[in-house]
Amino acid sequence: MYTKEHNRTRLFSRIAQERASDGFDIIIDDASHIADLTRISFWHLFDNHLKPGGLYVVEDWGTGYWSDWPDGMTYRQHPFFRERILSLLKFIRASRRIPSYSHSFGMVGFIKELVDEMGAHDLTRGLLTGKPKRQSKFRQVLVVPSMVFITKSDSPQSGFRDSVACG
Amino acid sequence: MIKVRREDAIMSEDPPTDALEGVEVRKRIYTEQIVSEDRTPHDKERALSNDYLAPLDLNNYHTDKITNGYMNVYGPILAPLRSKPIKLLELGGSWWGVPPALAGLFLERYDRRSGPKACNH
Repeated sequence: MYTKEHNRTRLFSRIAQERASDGFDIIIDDASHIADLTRISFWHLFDNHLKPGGLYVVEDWGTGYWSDWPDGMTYRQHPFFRERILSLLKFIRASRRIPSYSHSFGMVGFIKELVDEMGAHDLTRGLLTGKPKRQSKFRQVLVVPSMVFITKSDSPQSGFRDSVACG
Repeated sequence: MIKVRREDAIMSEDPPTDALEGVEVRKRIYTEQIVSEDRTPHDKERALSNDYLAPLDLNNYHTDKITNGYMNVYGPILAPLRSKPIKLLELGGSWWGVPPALAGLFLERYDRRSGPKACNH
């Protein structure tokens, strides 16, 4: 059993060095269910200590829908003022590019960030006529109630952190 | 029901006798014995998926992975890995039942008191 250390990433690296120097096959995060902490753990372990083709599981991401969870918030389908403003913008044709409303509190927001990485091929392309700068680090993302399964690509791309901000 | 847990990374460094030994989980090959040889590889895989929980006595494991129904999700997804040695890291698995429960998916018959048992299928 490894207990809390001040530097989480250093702890993870120490665990990996002692237990799986060639990387883990499966990593399961059933810890804090706090988005900021989960994000740090995820990218450090995924990038550095998960084997190509390995599986990373994040549990209990639905906490982001709970207002009594530290970083969660009760889901609101149509925030009143946002809808009024967008309706006005559409009416006066001030904008044709209006984003869909999406709940992004806590773990729910973190899980939705993973979609950006899954779409790295198009994300780094930028334009219809643009060229992709890299492929996704994910082979696939499977989202099921309360759990998400991220399978690492067999050939991870380099330079990810410079090109896409994911927390 | 989700319970707040510490921000610890948990692995069994010095496990008790009834816990998972180390982080390397090896699945026994006896599951192949319950799959007839005339089935296609797809049928075999499906059979393994459907049978993954049958040999487990879930009362031996104290983890919300069972009460939340997560084991039913893990089973089919991890089924392709059951014949391979794996290294698994769980963060926050601060309850003693969690690693053995997952190990049970691979070891088929895991007794908390004496460890994995041979399968009689």
